[in-house]
Amino acid sequence: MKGQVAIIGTGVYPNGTYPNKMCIELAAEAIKKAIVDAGVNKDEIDGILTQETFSDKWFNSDIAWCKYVEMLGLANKCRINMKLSSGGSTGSSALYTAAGLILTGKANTILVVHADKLGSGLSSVQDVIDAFSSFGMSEECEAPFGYTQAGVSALASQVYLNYTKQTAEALAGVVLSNRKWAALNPNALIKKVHNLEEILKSPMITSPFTRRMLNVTCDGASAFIITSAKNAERLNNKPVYVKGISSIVTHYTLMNHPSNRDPSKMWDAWEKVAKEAYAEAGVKASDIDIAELYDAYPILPLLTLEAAGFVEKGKAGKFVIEGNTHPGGKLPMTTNGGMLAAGHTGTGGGLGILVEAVNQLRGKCGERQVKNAKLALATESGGQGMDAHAMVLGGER
Amino acid sequence: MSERWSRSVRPKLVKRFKPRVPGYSKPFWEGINRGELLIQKCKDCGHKWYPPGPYCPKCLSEKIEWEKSNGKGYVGSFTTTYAASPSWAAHLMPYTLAIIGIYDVDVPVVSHIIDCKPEDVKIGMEVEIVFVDYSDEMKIFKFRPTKKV
Repeated sequence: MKGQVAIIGTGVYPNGTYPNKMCIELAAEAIKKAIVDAGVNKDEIDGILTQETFSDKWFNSDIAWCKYVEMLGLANKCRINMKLSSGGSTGSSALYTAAGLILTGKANTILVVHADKLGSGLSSVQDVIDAFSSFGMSEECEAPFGYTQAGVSALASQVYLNYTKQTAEALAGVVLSNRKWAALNPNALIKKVHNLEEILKSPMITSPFTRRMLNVTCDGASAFIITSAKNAERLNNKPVYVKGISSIVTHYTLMNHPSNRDPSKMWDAWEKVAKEAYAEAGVKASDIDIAELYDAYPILPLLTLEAAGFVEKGKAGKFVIEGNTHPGGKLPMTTNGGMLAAGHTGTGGGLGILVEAVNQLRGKCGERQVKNAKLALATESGGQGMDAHAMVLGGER
Repeated sequence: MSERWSRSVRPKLVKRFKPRVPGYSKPFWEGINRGELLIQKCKDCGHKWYPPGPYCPKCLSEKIEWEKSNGKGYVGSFTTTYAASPSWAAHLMPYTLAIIGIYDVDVPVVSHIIDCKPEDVKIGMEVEIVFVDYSDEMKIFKFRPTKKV
């Protein structure tokens, strides 16, 4: 990658619940904002990559069937429109796909967009839980036992905490850090900061997760525009370069993750992708100014902080509790508040984190702006933690 | 079978989530209905795996035999779900989900730990398989502590 492609603009529709709006309205606003932010002529957009939507079947098919092309007046200009999904890592998958199209010369300026309404688009909270108890679950071997996404992450957390001799306080520490950042983000769903005890003492949902350790589903949309470095330099509007990217798929069912036989293998995939992304970017962990870590559940930031070389194995809990990842800390982490506080919009969760990394590097984050942020690591993961994606982004090529 | 829910919710069993089973998995579920845990083994390379698949994930051979396991294993990880279960498992709460490593066939499976208080379940605890009714047509397998806790 080495900075050959760059993200030149972003747009979001604030996380929330909008019972009177449809997905297309949320998406339309995020797209328009991204185009304006990029300062690009919309007729230059020759590729559109959309993402799986869970709450609206009609919209979910419309976006694959080129609704956006017509909406944006791009008929006979847009060369490719497709819908992607790898669950929570779809943002990174879209980045990969866009870079491939741009670097092979098949498209030059690509719009990546996601919208969903997990807050108000399904008929009840139970419907959301039922949906997340079937996505990425083995129909015959897991679903009958009442497996949920929270349950899967809880199973992974138990192994992690047991092996590293940490307690649930480590998980609460991540929630507290994210809540502190969300309080500074006008687009975040939850702005209330609870202390560690309040997080640990909230009702137990699936051990060791209490209610406040779970992500909060909501409505929202996010978009970005990506182009070749050459085109980005022509536009000269604070491009953010994709310097390194790496990923690996480890499993479909969590039971087949190597860490179940040998817990010391828990970090392997994340270590591998972080190392490869750093190498491609020509940087090391100590060069990273901000860590935008995927946080569908609080286990992932702990695991990735350690695997990406920011803190020793087993010490991530202490690291977050001491405030190192809080606003003003030495390694600002998940600075929009992530899915644990800013809100989980479905396959757009990872895209939201990627957009936040870009906004930080462009100095557009208002009250939560990290001073002199030049290099960011962003991570994403989908399904039952089935894959590990690491991206290094930078304001300089 | 002393499973707590099996008596109280019996009438609801027919409404239970009914998984579809691909052809290659049928011998597995037929085994469960007879009270046998069968695991796929590749006749060409000896690899064993679970959940069932159409061919060996290691060498793609379709020469597969079913190896009978004694169903003894250990808890690799567990979580007890007290709330926010899928609707089809609501009547089971609280239930303890676990990843169990089966010793003789050396594969992991997912199931419930029963006949044990949630607070007594520990990583590494030894467990054995039991077969219980899932619906009027289907049995399912669960695990209980090998030694009384």
